[in-house]
Amino acid sequence: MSVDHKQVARRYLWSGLGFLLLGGLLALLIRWQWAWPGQPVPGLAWALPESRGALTPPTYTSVFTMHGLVMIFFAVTPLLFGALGHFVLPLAIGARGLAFPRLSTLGFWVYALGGALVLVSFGVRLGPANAGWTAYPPLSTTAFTPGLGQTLVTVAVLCAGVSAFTYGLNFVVTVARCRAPGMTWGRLPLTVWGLFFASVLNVLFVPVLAAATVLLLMDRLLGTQFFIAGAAAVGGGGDPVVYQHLFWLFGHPEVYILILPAWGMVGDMVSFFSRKPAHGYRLTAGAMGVVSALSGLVYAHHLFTSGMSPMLGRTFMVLTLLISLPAEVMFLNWLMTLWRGSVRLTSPMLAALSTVVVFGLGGITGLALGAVATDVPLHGTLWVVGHFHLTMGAASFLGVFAGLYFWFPKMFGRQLHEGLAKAHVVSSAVLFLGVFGGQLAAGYAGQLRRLYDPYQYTYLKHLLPLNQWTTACAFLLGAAQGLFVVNLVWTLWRGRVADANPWQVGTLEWTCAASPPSDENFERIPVVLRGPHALSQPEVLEQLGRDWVGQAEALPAEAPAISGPQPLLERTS
Amino acid sequence: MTSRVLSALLLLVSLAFTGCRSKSAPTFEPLKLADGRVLSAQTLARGHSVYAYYCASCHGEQGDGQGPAGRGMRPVPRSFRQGLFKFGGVSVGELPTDEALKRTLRRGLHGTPMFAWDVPDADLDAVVQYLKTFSPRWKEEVPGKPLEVSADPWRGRDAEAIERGRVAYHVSGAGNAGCSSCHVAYLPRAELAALMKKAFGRDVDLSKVDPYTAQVRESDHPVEVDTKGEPTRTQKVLPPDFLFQPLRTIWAVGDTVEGAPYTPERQREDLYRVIAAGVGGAAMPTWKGAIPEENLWALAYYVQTLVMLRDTDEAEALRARLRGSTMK
Repeated sequence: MSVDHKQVARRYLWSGLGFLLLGGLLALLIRWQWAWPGQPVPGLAWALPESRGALTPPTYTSVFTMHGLVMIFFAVTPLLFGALGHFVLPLAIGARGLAFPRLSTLGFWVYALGGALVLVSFGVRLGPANAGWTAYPPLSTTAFTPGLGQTLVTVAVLCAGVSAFTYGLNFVVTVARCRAPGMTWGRLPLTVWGLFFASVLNVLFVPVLAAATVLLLMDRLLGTQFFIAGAAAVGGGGDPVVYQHLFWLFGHPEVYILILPAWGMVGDMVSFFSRKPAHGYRLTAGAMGVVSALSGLVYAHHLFTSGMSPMLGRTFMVLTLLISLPAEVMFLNWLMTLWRGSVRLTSPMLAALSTVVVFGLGGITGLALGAVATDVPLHGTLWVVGHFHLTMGAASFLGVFAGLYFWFPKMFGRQLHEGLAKAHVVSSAVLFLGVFGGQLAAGYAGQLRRLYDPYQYTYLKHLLPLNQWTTACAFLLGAAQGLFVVNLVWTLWRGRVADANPWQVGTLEWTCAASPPSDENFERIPVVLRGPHALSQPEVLEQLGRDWVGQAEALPAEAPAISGPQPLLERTS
Repeated sequence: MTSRVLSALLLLVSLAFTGCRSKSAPTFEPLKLADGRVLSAQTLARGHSVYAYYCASCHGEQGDGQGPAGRGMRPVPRSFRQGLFKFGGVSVGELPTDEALKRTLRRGLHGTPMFAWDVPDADLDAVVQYLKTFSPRWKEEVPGKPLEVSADPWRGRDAEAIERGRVAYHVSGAGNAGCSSCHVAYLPRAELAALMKKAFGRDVDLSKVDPYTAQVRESDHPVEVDTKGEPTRTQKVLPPDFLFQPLRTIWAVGDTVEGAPYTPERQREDLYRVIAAGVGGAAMPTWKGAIPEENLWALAYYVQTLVMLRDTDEAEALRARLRGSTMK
């Protein structure tokens, strides 16, 4: 069994895409229920014979629980870190591999074990978990979710956490210790910065999730009372709100864990495809650092309505609103990079720009949830759902596809069809706005989250057409993913063989490694001479006749700063 | 290869770990009911699952009404161990019909967290049968005879029915129910006295009674049970004041109940049903057979007029007038 980081990345890619499909199908079931409540879903009668294919309340609860859980723990995180992170990180810093190759393989198998448990849970009596993806007690205690499914899924989340911790640790050590000569911190591609900060967050906060999960499992299996309501009042024991604190101390940084790698990629791609050095490189990297530092300090805005002290609420409100400032810095830097750039709307660039748009909208709608006064009425409504789906769902998804379209030639040595890829990205981005915009509107109109049949309530009856339109967008969004599947299958089967550097950029994975790279990544370890965004500099144009220069490529007038092996591959396309 | 073996091992270990204390599916023996029906083990197992989803959090895993979500609920969630139901569609104290239990599940009970559950039909039957495992009564007694809804004798003569109902409500004996002795009276003192004089042929002294305040009564439904699920403390109940309290099985006209609009006729029929059958475990007796059938219907007509007034300014004004009324 290979412990090569590229092999591990491919395993994560296929399993992540599989879970993305599963999570997406579950999402469509939720949307079906909101458009046609209680109506049988065509083709689902085999799975739900008692109701002839209609979602019953327990099935519906399971469906939205598993959708959230699968998407976050088994699809988006593994795709961003497991697939893209594992593949790119060592290549981009000029390392032969990850610092602990066996650990990354172990991490994948622990993740696979968790995934298997998730799949098994669909088949057990009483079905899979149905306490919501957050698994709040008392809903997640045996009194309310007595089935084995909830336990299996809780173990699965623990497995996903262990796996996230292992690659987090691995990435941090790799970036800190395994950089190629000359690859100073100031020369790291922004993607690496994003992955690095997110990995630090993984190492710091995933153990908090693991602690909460283990305590919850003890409550379920061993009769402890860490999170049992009222246990504190009758002598010792815990409180369900304690779980919420632990969960969100992980859960809020998780938002940044999911978006920081995407931000990094956006930073790089905006520069690459505007053919300009990234504006304010240091500020962008610094802003990512500030966001990471603040991310754990804002978690309690999830608890404004949970009975937390209003005084604490004020503090957390200020911190939460503060975190938008570094995000602004990044956005402005991206805009400044685009400004007067020679913009090439390739598929990765389109995906990166879509990420910026949907994350921007997600961020703006989040301000209303960060401020106590507006959070109180909006909390628990679909507004929250629309907001976090824009940030964590749409933005992370588009980030994943930006990365995938960008590095696919390097991963598989074949070039995806650009037209299909562009159609996929643009249609996905537009439909994402339709779906989650519809949710924001429904939430602003007062539709509560998680309702099995919202129209039981007179004041929500008029939202049926809106929800049906949103559902139509969701089904179209699902159908649009067919473009990617067709593109992927066709390309892997008989796609065009890719150049070593089809995007004509200077980072190490493109300039110093073959497509796909050999087991050793580089024939010789490159010596890095400059930052990642050396684009459109007059002397480069003059001397090389092209607008880019590799990070490890010496210009004729330039002697390598560090004596050692010379960069291997210098391709002009 | 070793990784595969390792992962398979990990899977097995974790399955064993999760399975060790988690409740496994209980096994069931077929249950023979006193009415001769046999509930298959399969039905009971299905019913157990459905019960675990929808019911156990309030009604308790043991069916004793002591589920974690039910603590502090008033009215208390039903204990299924007594085999005693409020709305059983049979005479008070008898075992309910399956039809009545399903009706409660489908429609829910007003003013309580017993919602109208969207349980699929197959599950509905399974859970109703499963409830029968909680009380030994089902093995010993047959369910009561369903109290059929008779034809409405007052159809088209509403005013007359209401007039008769008013008498049947406020006067005791001679074919009248005397509801106002538990529920409150809805006539000013002078009118009440005149009505009684007309019914009994003599003056009735109302000066020392308070006909406008309902009295708390004992019910048979447990608030607390011991470790075996036997009642240790029972609930007290207040007969509803129709002007101000929602009735558990009566909806407002215009609501949608079981997918169909709730018409005044349906509302009246439901009132008839409660008055005829009584409310099991509470102080409300079975009136069917105790008073003439047309008076049962007349009461339904009269109570409906009160229910229609519920929570209106008119109801408030009526109450003020009743409280302020004297013997003059």
